[in-house]
Amino acid sequence: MRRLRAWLVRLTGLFTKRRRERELAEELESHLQMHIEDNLRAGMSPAEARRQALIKLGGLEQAKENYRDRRGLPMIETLIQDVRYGLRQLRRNPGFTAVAVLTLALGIGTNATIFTFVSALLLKPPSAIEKPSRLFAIWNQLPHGEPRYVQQNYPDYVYYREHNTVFAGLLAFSSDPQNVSWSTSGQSQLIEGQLVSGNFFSVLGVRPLLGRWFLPEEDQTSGRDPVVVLSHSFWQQRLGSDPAVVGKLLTLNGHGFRVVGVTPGNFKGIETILEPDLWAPIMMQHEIHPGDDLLSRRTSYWIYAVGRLKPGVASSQALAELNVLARQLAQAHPEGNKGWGAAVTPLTGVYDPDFRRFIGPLMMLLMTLVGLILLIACANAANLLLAQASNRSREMAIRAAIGASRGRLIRQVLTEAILLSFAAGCVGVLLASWTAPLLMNLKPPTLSFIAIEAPVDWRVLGFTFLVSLLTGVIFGLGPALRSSKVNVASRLRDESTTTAKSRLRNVLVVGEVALCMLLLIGAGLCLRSLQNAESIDPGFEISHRLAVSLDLRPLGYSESRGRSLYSQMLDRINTLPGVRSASLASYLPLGFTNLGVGIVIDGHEPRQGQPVPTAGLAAVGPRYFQTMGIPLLQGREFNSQDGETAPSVIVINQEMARRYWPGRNPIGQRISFAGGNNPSFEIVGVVKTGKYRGLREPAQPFMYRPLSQFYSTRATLVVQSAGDPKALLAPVQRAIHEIDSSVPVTDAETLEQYMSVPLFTAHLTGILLGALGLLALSLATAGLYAVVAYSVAQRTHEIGVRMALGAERREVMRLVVGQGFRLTLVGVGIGIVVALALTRFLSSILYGVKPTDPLTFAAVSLILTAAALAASYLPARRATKVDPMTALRCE
Amino acid sequence: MAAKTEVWQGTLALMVLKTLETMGPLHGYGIARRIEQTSGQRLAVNYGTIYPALLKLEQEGYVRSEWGVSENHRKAKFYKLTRAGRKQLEREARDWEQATAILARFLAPVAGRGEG
Repeated sequence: MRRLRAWLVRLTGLFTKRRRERELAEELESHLQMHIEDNLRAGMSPAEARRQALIKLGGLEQAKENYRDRRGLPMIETLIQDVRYGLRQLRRNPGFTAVAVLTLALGIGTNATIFTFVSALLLKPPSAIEKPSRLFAIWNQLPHGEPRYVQQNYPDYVYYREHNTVFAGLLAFSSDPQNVSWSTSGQSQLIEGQLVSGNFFSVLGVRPLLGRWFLPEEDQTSGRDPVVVLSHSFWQQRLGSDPAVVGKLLTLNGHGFRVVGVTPGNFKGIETILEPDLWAPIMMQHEIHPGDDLLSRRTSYWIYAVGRLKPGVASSQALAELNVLARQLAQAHPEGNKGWGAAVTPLTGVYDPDFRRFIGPLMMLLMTLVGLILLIACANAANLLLAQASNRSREMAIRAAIGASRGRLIRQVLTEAILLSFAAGCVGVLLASWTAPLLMNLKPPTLSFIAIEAPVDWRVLGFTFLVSLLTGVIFGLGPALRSSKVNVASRLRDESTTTAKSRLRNVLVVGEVALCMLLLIGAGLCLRSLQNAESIDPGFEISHRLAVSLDLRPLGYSESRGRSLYSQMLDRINTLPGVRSASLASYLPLGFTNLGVGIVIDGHEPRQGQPVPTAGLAAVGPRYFQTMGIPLLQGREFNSQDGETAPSVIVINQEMARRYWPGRNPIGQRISFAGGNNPSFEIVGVVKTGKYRGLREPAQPFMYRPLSQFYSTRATLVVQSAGDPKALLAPVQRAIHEIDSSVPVTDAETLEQYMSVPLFTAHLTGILLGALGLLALSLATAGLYAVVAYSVAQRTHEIGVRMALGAERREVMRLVVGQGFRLTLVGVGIGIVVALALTRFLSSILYGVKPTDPLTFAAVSLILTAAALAASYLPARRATKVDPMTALRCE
Repeated sequence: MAAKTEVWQGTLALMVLKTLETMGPLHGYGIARRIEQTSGQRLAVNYGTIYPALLKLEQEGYVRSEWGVSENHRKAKFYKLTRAGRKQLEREARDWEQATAILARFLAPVAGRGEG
């Protein structure tokens, strides 16, 4: 305690220096005067009295210095001194400073940019929520296989809410925001609505901007309380920030809903990337999401549950209790919940576990790559600092000669390095705040509903600060150790001792080239794999096609009305000029929708304990395969004969035929769906296998049923055009609205535009990898250039002598280029060896390319060597222009 | 003059505290003189070392200082023992007595112990 107090007082001593200095002078002066007076009284002469007093004090300045050491904190004082001196040094060499800061800023900036996304996607809790660290999402954990988290059904959620003792509150919300039709002044628009439990906002701890939140009783009786809370941006953009909005009625899906509140502007919903336009109580499910009764159904897992821990309860305690409750549920409902456990995850970033499993490794890869770039930048900066230090070795020698310890010299160089890296950190943050939004703009317009806010927040600033500090130490330590090792005597006599330094410089260049090699190979492999992924045949034609998505659910259409709408639509659009063919599908492959069912095939019954085989399933209209350009291999397409009452038919893909009827004709065989006594379907056709969920998936079994026999409230209209499909967008939508103006069209785009979504991650990663590879290559080339150029400058004298002795330009050229070339070759060699050892860690994300792909390795080696030759050629040319006479005189 | 002993490490602070306890508020010069006198002129105090020692005690909160006027009307900084300083003095004095007692016993002529 006492020591801490003393420390604090000394710390303040740093800032009150001038006053304290005056007081010290006064105190010692009065001391001396008193002593002199005493001495005079003792009979000394005035001069002797003063002399004796000073001797006894041990010298006035010495006494002051002793006192000062105790007064402030000498360590901090010398630090301030070092910083001041360092700043002066950096100002004196603006060229060096600018180049070093810029190099490091590129390295730190790319790190900050990528980390901005790590922070936004993986670390940041949703904004404007009270103590988000106490909130946890609750999942069902499936028993076997890899850990898979599944959402809750509504009855289970209610059970957890009523029976747990660990949460102060347990809220629920419906999976993703869903389309709601909002009718205003005779027109209907689609907006995004989310169903939430009555305690949603109060558990989150958000305060309404206007009005109030839902009341507990508004979430008790199905369909009784049509109330909504509006999001701030919906209220601002669609309702013109109407201050009197609370109490007004909105017509949603044809029902009147009363507005009770508006959220504050900084609240963006609970899922960071999907913000709904409005929220309604879960009890309004039938009105907001018409269709099945999800509130009582135990087989629909559509609820995200999030709980706020009671004070003092740890998440592990909560998990233990939830597991007990999960076992009780499993006992009560063995048909669904058997063997299921519970899992909790913190509410950070996008917390959906499937998304995290995908984005986590991608972010790791990117962080590793930008880490390598930073190391390359560090090597460059270290080289600059070394060159700089050898210009200053005389100064170092003088400082050492007048008593500076080695530690002090090291500290001086390190301080300068850290100053440089902090300056670079500041520039890097600016770079990140500029490049991060730029990256967001690469997102295809179809994904506009995903709003990733990636601001430069305190996490990014803290990260950049730490990275800058580390960078300073990493790149400063080598030069600091090296340049502090001064041989005072020889240096003062102006002898140069450059061998050791140039060895360190060479090591740095070799390391840099090796790192660059490693990075380029990694990036090259990923790019090759992306190229492969992009050239994958999705199984359907993309050009001259158009897709228009419809959602009939908000309209509350009856099935028969929906059917007649579909057939009228197809009739009309098929006759539009420029349309070759038009058809419908319940959903298109490679989109956000997927459906899979268990199948039962005679002769393929699963063995005891084995899971039921599954296959993908879609409902499609007549002439779908022709319209989509999916080759029909056997049998026939669906046609108008396959009506509601006609025999049940099905078309399968080739993969399914291969699996279940190898070497036999599947036409005429029968399939039924698992679960009870479902009717069976006759196979009437086989089509080519395509890609359904993702481009990189292995061949999957897939089935098609006629839309007329398998009705869907959501459908995508596909049109094959004769000319430019874009020209048909407007006429097709007009045709739909001529039949019923209230049909909400959710999306209308060409299939080329549609495909930008499945290809999005590939494109984004490609652009990132390409940019990072280019950056690494330029940094390494610049570093090599600097080293060769510097050594040419150092060897001007030697080159002059050689030329005076008759060396030809060609030989000088070979000498200089050879130096750079040798370093590069060593670096490339090391890089290849390290890459061979490391790239196998990439194999899980590579598609169609081996981690040791010889083509990539060879191409990257060639590119790097060519760049290195170019980098050494420029200084070499300068070397050949050396005039022997000037060179000889320059010593 | 007999050969003088240098001040042992760490004892100066104790002497300063004791001096302040007996003499009441006193300036640096007075403290130094007083220590010399008490030692019967056997201790050579470097007056310059008094001030850092006083500063340390002040930083630790054992003494307080304020400007005042000396007996011969000179402006001087007076140091005063605080309550914490009084306690610290007691503690240090006790420790010191113990240490000297142990050392005294150690150095006393040993009786009745042979090597065996």
